Amino acid sequence: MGDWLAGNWGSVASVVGLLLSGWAAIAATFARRAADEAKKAVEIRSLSSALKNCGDDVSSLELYFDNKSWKPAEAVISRTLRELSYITSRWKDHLDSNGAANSSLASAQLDTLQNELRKFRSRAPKESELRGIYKVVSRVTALLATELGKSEAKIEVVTVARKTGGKHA
Amino acid sequence: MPELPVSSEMVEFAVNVARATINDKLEWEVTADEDVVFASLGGPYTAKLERVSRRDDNEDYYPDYELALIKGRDELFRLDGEMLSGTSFAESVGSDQYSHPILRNMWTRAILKAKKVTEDLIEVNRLLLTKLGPATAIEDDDEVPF
Repeated sequence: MGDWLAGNWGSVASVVGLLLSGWAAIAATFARRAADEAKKAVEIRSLSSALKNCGDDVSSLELYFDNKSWKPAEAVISRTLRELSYITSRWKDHLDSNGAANSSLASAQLDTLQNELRKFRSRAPKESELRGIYKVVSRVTALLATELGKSEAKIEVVTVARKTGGKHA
Repeated sequence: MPELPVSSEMVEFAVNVARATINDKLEWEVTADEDVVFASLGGPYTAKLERVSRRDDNEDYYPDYELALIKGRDELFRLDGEMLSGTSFAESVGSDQYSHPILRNMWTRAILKAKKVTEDLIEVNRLLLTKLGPATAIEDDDEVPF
């Protein structure tokens, strides 16, 4: 045995080196995958947080409407529109086709709502117009809640995937 | 927004929206503006149908209709009856009418869809029929053409 090792130590060392290299490559692959999953989880959490903020802002519009505070309401809509633009460009990889459609529809609805509120600076809204603006708030809140729900469901999937080593990804 | 020249792709878009609206394939929805309805087309695209007020030669107001395509928050282009009148729009929709009555029909269909009037009427008529009994059901032939 000692003689055999003395005569073949170079080959043994090569085999051991090869096995170590293979193990290192596999470990690196797992580490990279774990890092990617962690990055994805953080991004989806950021998307969820942004969607939740937008939803809260839109919901708060009803209070402004109740108090006939049209200008502050316009400011809230402007902020929400900026945030939605940011969401659709920054997190577009995490939005599916329906998500992009819902975000665009929400933006278009808010744009129209803002135009309507501008009219109320110079005249009081009609009863039907008031009903219309409350209805739009409900609609946009529902659109954003749908996307928030989908995003939070993805967080759970990514978290489970990280815990199980990517088997549920 | 400056008015763009009407291209064949714009006419095709208008024809497709008209067909989809007439065949009840688009989910039009109300907006804060009573004269505007939206339909999501998928991705970042939204169709916008708007009723506007115009003056004729006698200075009388009459309703006209405009169809626009929105991407995200930007309106890409806008078409009205006059812009579509010199195109194959009416013929492609399968009508011998001018473009204006087609747009008016689209508006009526879209607003009924957006306010869910048709769905409610179907349900109400079904309830009425159960009260009246099947003998009083109106034949399909008697349906008023749209």
